Amino acid sequence: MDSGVKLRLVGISKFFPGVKALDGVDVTLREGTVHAIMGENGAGKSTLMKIINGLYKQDRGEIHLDGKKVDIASPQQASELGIAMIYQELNYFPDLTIEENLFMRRYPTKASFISWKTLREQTRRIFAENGVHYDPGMKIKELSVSNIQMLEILKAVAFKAKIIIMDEPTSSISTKEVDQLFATINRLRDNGVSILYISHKMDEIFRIADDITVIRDGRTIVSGPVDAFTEDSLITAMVGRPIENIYPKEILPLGDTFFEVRDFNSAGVFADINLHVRRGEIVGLAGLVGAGRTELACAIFGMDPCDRGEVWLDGERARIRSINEAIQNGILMVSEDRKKYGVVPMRSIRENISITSLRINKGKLIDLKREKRISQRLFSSLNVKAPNLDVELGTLSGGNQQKVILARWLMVDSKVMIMDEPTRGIDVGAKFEIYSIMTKLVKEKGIGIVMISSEMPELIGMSDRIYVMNKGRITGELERDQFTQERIMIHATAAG
Amino acid sequence: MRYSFKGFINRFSTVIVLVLLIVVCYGVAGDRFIRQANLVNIARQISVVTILSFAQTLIIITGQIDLSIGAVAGMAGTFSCAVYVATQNLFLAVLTALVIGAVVGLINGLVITRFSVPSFIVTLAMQSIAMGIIFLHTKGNNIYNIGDYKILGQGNFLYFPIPVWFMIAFWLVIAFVLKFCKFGRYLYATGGNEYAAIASGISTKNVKLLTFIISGLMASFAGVILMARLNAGIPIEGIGYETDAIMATIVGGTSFTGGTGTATGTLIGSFIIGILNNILNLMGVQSYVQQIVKGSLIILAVILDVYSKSRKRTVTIMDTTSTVAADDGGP
Ligand SMILES: Nc1ncnc2c1ncn2[C@@H]1O[C@H](COP(=O)(O)OP(=O)(O)OP(=O)(O)O)[C@@H](O)[C@H]1O
Ligand SMILES: [Mg+2]
Repeated sequence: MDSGVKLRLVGISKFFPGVKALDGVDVTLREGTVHAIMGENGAGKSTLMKIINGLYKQDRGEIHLDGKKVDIASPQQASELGIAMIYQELNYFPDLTIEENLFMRRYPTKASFISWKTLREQTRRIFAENGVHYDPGMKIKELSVSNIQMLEILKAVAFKAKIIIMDEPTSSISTKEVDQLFATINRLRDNGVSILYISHKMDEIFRIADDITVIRDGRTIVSGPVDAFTEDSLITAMVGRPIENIYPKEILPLGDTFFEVRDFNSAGVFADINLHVRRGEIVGLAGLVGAGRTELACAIFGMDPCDRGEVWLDGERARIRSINEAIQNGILMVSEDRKKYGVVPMRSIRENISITSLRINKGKLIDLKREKRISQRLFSSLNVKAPNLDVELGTLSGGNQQKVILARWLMVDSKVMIMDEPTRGIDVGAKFEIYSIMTKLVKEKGIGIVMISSEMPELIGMSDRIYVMNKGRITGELERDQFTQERIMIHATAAG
Repeated sequence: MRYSFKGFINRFSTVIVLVLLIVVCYGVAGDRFIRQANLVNIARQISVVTILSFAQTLIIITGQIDLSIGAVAGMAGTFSCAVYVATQNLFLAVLTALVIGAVVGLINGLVITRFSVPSFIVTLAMQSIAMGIIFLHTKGNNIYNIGDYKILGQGNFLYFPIPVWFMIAFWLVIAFVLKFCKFGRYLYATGGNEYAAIASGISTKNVKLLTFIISGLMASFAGVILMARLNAGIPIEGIGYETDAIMATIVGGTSFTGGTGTATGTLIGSFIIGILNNILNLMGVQSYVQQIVKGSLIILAVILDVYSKSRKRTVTIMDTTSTVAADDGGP
């Protein structure tokens, strides 16, 4: 058929109980290109990718690979057809080694026993070919997210995938690692590999994509080469309306310092941390992944122990030895790891929203009416895409799960809200909603927000002041008029 | 339309099975089923195991297991008989049982939460300890002539046998707790994702500890009713009930991995097993065959559970296996 077309999806539809996830989507993936699939949370991107990877079966529509109609019944079959997927939520076996993970289900054998020698040699060869330096015997759990991801990509490459699906691959890696990833993607593209790329980060799309397909409400809205789009036209296509200014920041007069972290130390993790927050202030915490920001946040929140340090709130020392004490003091933390520390997948949206609020309110019984009313309000104001409040949280799309977890913390009164990557995996429209809520919280309630983020534009757009962390120490403090990406990067990477 | 029908089937699958079963029984045994095996009779037969199943349900919702409940029922029930025989004081006798149950639950819970030992091991060991203690005390003999103690198991009140009233009371209380009490939500959250529960401010260790104490209390009370029904204190009679309780719980739709389950589901699960036993009896099927049928039923229930979940959340399941595998002991 048409030359250069690697994969063609025609009229793909997929229904879940009560949800039309896909409703006739068309995508044409050309050989040796990067094709971005864009759309709001719950638009159906991940579902579409899972269909291509054989995890779900479409209810309607056809898949043509190299001009031939194919049925993809399982991920195994997909991999035989040369299709590999890097999942939005990475899967791995934490206690296996790198090489075991790499050759999972494909161990080289000798007289039907695993040949560890060959395994080691082949692993070394793959690493050499791709210019990476891992120790093949290292356990997966000792690696960072970006390393695991790189490994997944290597796995795809090593087994001759011709189509690689990447579902939000940059949602938990740092800027520098993104550069590495893009270099890899470019190399793959030059070798004729086609890539389906999902991301909510605009700048990335314009850096890496050749073609863009926008889906909304399960349908293809537009599709075309990247030059045919501008950032604004892309947002409009995704959201269905234009968004003027994505950072609704209001510069407000700040109150006095009311929250202080003094001399926080935790051996080997962070040292000599001093920071303060004023009433109504949004404080950004910048740094590379691994700078110790999340660890610091967990220590302040009473989740991880720290060796030494004091927290001062409203002029008094706050003793925080447990998460419960932190919450009682009005110090909250929205974790960056929503799967592990956030989502209770088999429980309803309503229960997931109200759980912390229940913990705080007096009494033993649940005020079901109040619970319903408030969670309904948060559900609507955050625009969570789900049939109703009673569906299992685990069935929602990644971004919508994040909104529900955010709602959990918004339901509780707070003085200081620590938000660790609050907009990870969230679409532009919803990001705007969350920024608006942050603005409202500091303006109307006078709380302080500490925002940890790996997205520079977001930090610069929303913060009043930014601390930069590097190797467990605070290496810089910038006022709003000093914000530039370069300055932040200098502090974040300076040798020290 | 198609989907709402499927949703209906999913939601009420246990009820549907129950109704089908009754219809089939009627078809097979006809009048005899109505006469001899009427629901009140079955309710009386299953009352003890149902109360134990409620306890097991709470435990399984939190992602744990309690293998000691059968033995605790045997031990606490028998001790209680001994106290009654010695004092002729029913209140004191029941109180003794409850204290024993609470203490065993406390020990189970403390070892599990403070030393991060899997509940499977701890409660299995407790099963052996409880049996050892009671046999040591009775020197292996049963306690007969327990007099009026038997009222608790054999009397009637307002047309229904007393054990059935107890079963109904427990059903209502547990259903209420799971639906309207914060503690119920903490149970679900703890079993659904313990880390998330902790990060939300729930002290999951205390939740688990309390659940084991409740389980011990309920087990000991079930033991009292059991001995009263038997009209004797027979320690060994408790053994085996823990597996029946697991069966009723799982057949009733509680997921073995924690985070889901209801009291009503368990009640229905228990009825399904009770009716099945009954009809097999009526048909003159050997008790060994009955065991095979019951065992097969639980395997079927678990397959259904895993199957319906895998269709709903293929990916979530794959995700959780990787994290769960790493932290058996819990945080
Ligand atoms: N297993 C499932 N069961 C029921 N509904 C589902 C299931 N998987 C996805 N959905 C629904 O299908 C829709 C599309 O979900 P999908 O995960 O594909 O969205 P997405 O575009 O990837 O969103 P995000 O950007 O948030 O990752 C959502 O409304 C979601 O709730
Ligand atoms: Mg997705």
